[in-house]
Amino acid sequence: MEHIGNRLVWYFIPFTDIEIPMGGLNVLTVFNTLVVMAVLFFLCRLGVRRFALEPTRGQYMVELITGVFDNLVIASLELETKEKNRKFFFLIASLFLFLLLSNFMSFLPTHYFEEPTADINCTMGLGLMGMAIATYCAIKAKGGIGYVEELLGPLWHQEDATGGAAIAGKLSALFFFPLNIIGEIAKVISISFRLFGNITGGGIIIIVISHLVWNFSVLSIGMDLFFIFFVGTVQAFVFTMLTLTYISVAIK
Amino acid sequence: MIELEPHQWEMLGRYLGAGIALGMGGLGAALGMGNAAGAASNAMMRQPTQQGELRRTMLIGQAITGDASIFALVVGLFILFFPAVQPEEVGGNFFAAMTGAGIAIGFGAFGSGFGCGFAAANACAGVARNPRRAGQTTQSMIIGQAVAQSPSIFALVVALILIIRQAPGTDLATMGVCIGAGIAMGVSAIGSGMGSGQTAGGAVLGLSRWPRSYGVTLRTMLIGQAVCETPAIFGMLVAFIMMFAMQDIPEGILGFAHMLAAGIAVGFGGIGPGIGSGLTSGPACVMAATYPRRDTLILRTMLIGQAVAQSTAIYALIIALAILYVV
Repeated sequence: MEHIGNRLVWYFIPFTDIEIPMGGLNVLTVFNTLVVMAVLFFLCRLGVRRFALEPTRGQYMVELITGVFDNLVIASLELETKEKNRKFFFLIASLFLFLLLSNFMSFLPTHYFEEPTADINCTMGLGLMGMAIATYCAIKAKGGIGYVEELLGPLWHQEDATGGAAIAGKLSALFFFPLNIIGEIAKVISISFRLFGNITGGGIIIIVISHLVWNFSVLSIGMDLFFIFFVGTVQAFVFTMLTLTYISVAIK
Repeated sequence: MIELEPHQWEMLGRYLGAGIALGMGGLGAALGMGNAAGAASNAMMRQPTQQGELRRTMLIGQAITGDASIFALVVGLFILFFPAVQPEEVGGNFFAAMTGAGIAIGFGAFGSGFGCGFAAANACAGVARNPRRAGQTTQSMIIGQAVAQSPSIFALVVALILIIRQAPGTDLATMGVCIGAGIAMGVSAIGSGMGSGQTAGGAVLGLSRWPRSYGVTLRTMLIGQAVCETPAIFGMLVAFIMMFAMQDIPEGILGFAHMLAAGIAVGFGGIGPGIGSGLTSGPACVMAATYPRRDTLILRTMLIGQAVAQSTAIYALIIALAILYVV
């Protein structure tokens, strides 16, 4: 129970004295991320091995999942052409599948396979990635000046204001600009800590209740089903949808 | 400073912590369950032939509403029976750790329990309105309530970390860290739990009237609940910073005041935004069920409204971080 929340970190390259820069390497997180990517690649490859008009089971699964996300992206972004939507579809679908498999990972009853999403570095990285993409899209859609003007608040750009009202509107930017910047940072914090807290919390609840009932296994399996499969799916979906919504708000 | 024997500190901490945990945790769940039972009675009056279905929905809803108070019970048992690491050295830090854990889970379970009650009550009303879709209404209620438990899960994590990382001796700064982290996490989870529950209630109400817009309504509900949980996440962040990332806390009563003030700022600052976001996203879910083709517009309006409602939680976070790092 004492090692709750600890992650294995390598501070030195194994068998040498060479220090790893930037405070070490979360080796299990990196390893499990790579495992998830490999499994995902293998499964998708398997699903689309033989494309046919009459789909096999694997192809049907792949088509079902991609179809759902294709429709989601089109409905929330509403871009003009299919190709523009398709660009974001790849990001959103792979993000969801990656998070889903990552959250399911601790169901494997093996050592060294733990959810990468229970590490704040992983979720924070994904959150920063989503925010960077959203900011890039906003700058691309509105131009650099338009993006900055949006950060300066609603009162910055008033056509009909004159004299004192216009100056007050410009001065209000002093108040709105820091707030909007902090709001952007708060988005990253909330999206990444939500996933991290839910996945870590589920794991801790399973450990604690299993400990309290002397590892009576039926109860533990029931809690696994809830906290790993249900909460994992919901949180993967929430993370993906929030990233998509941030992008859609940034574009419009 | 009060001078007490080690076993007196220990008893003081255990009793106070367990009392707050179960007292506040039970209060929320009981209010929620009563809400559900009242709505079920009302619904039975409207649809006397559906008594069996209504009783089943009410019981399922109440059982999940009680989850948060079961978390409080688990932590309460830990507070009472978790062994002190160095029994001879038990002091004020142990007392503060137990009290902080009790505050965290007690207040944290209050919000989730109270909020889940809205979903259960609306599910009973919805089953009475549309008995043929009782299965779907119950299902959406379960999903919404399960997601509305998130703030209490965060509170459970912080409470258990506080209990396990107990320090020996008496040191005002460490006591401040424990109690401040407990207040930051627990109190900020009140609003988030209630807001998430109201969102789930709105979705259940909408789905019982327009059962066909299931996917759209659930999507709106999940996003709305996720945004409602932001104040609790800020609370968890400040609690984690206090417990793990503070390098040089001022000695003595000054450090105690710093930590306590930061916890109070982010904790109480989070109540309003959580409830306010729930007031935004609950009706948004009803509207998404009513007009499923306009879901993008509804979602965007809801997100903007919630973002403005969240701004006070962000001010609270800034003040808390300023207290921790600048002042």
